[in-house]
Amino acid sequence: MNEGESERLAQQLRQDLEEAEAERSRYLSRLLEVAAGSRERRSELAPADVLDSPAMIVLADRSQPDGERIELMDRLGASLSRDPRYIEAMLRILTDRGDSPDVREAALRMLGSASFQVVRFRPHRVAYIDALRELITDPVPELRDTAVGVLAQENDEVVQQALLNGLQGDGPLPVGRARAIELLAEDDHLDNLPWLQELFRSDEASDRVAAVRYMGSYPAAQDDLESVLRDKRESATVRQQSAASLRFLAPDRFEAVAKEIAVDVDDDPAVRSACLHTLSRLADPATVYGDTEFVNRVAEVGRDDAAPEVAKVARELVEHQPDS
Amino acid sequence: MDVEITVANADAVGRNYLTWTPVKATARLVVENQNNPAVPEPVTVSNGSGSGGRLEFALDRGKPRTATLDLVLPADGSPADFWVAGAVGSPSIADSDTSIEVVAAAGGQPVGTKAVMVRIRKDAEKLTAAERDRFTTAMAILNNQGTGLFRDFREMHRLQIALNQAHGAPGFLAWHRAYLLDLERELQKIDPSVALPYWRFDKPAPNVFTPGFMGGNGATGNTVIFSATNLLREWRTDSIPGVTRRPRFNPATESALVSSDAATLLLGGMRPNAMFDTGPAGGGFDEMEDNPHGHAHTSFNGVSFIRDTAKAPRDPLFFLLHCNVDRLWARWQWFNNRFDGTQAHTYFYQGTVTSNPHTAVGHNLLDTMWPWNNVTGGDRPLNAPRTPFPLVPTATAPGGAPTVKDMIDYQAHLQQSSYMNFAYDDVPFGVAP
Repeated sequence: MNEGESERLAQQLRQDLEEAEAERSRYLSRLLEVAAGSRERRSELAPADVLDSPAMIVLADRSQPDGERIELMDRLGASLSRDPRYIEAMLRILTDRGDSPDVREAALRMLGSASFQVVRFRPHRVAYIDALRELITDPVPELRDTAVGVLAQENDEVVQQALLNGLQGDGPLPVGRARAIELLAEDDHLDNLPWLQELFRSDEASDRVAAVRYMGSYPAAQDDLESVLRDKRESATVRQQSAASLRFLAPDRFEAVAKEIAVDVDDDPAVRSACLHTLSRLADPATVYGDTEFVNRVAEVGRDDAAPEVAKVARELVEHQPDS
Repeated sequence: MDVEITVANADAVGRNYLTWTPVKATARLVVENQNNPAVPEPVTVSNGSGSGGRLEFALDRGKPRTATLDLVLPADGSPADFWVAGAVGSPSIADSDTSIEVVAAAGGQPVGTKAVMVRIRKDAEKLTAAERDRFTTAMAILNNQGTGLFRDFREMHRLQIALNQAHGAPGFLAWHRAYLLDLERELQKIDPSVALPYWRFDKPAPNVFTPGFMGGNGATGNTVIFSATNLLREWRTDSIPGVTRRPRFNPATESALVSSDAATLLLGGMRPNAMFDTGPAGGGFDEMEDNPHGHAHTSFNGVSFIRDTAKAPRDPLFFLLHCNVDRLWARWQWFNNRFDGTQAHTYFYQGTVTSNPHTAVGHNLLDTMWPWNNVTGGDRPLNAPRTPFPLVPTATAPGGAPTVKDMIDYQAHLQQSSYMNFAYDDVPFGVAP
């Protein structure tokens, strides 16, 4: 047995644990001191029945520095999900517009973490969703952004309606216009294609990547996607995403275009590589390797020193040939 | 002289994938003419040349292993037994990149070799480019643009009743260990050299959140961007292409918003009294389900798949995150000698949901786990997408319908029959000295 390596790992861990234990003790001592200061102000903090622990006292004390309260939240660990009073405290902080935005953001993160403990969190789920909906109109943009994102991922009808209203000019948008379209697009049961076409007109490449990505859920977007994939003026990243979306909607159409791009020496090397790579690994081998002329041209690309990255992927495609 | 080497738990075509767990092997003289018997041959077993994984050998499973081992091979061709394992700190980086070599004592000539791989789950940050690409390619093929077997893994982690089987109760770690192993075995059917990597979320990970691996982000928006030769470009789940994710930390320079490895391993207390769980009062290692597990999930912005319990597996990063969660459990087990599920320190809720009626089904030591048990209806989901648990020749466990208990002795420390054929690069076999 490699006793030396096992001993080294164990020794290192023993040392790390001792340091962590010492650090935890130091923190608990400090928490007691901090709580003592807060205790003198406790009548202002919250109902007396919830202030029965140093942690609860410090959490409720808005006069404490943000960092103190956020660190405490991070250290609450499982107490958060196992003691309903902590969840309730987090909900109070989150929905208190007079509290610090950073502390409220941390409370939102804690609640999100606790929500992963599905069985334990179930009794709090309705209150959590209600709190998130309240944040849709919160004055703090970061909180709105997180809450709207979480709700959008849940396909929450309230947030979807708020986003739609905002996009149509019937109300305030809780987030920027591009972001609102992205969030709605997470639910492909909605008729998002017109919004995605609008998003594609953005000057920002990452917005256009998102647009063509979500278009991949809409069969009617095939023409747009092929057009983007063929557009040599478009950025490589956008075209690659367009290729993936088109391939799902119309694999034959993708393969025809990809074959053209793959052997076009005037095209972008990254897009050519992506096309070759997908054809090599995921396309129907009969379609790819049954086209002898194409395979021969790819073999030539594999010998092209002018585009070494493309040549490498081209050689891999040829090597992948069944029975070759 | 010719020597034949065999190693237990070979795959269907005779390849061997080792971990840190000792596996039985044999060497025997190939006797070509029974009428002209050879004489017993002293030989030395050692690691063959190569820059890949390193091996260690022993005559008995429980004995210290060494870099070389002397054997005498019987003249009649009957096998001589020995044990072989990967050497901690020296895993393979490619399939069959190392070998067992038998050298004749007389003359020092190699008389037999057997190629093997020391296949270990590694820190994703430290993978070679080839290891990284094999993993992403296998994942993309399993997903096959949303039409592949990956759909089953996505379904297992979608509905509330399915999530109940695995979250917010002590079976969390055992269920996810089985879930990861099930996925890893499917990946290994595509490429047997693949092992799941783990994301050390308590450290910066500049090599993980890149277009070539788990994907990076553009200047705006939440769509993850992959490079031209990363097949995860073709990722698709629930009929939507791609992955939605944006970290709330800078992965190049910061850790996720989680506690450290050491703080996590301290959750159950210091050894020798470290506890997995203390029942309803809390206070055990299983509290890691909140921090770091839950905190790692919520280190991303609101709309990120990985931040949503029901959608998290739509992001391939989910499996690296959970691989680290499982590694932490494995590390805690190793350090505290927690492999015997019948000990309350190892697992608090003994028996079944019938004997502990106040607990959730699937979270007691002897409860079988959905979906592999094919139990549906009632407190279980209405269908079971993956049943039975895939049995593979490279491992002896778990069985087709694993219980929580079956997932605990994963390295076969206590029982050879518990061997699951996976290990972590920083968790040796056995118990910490």
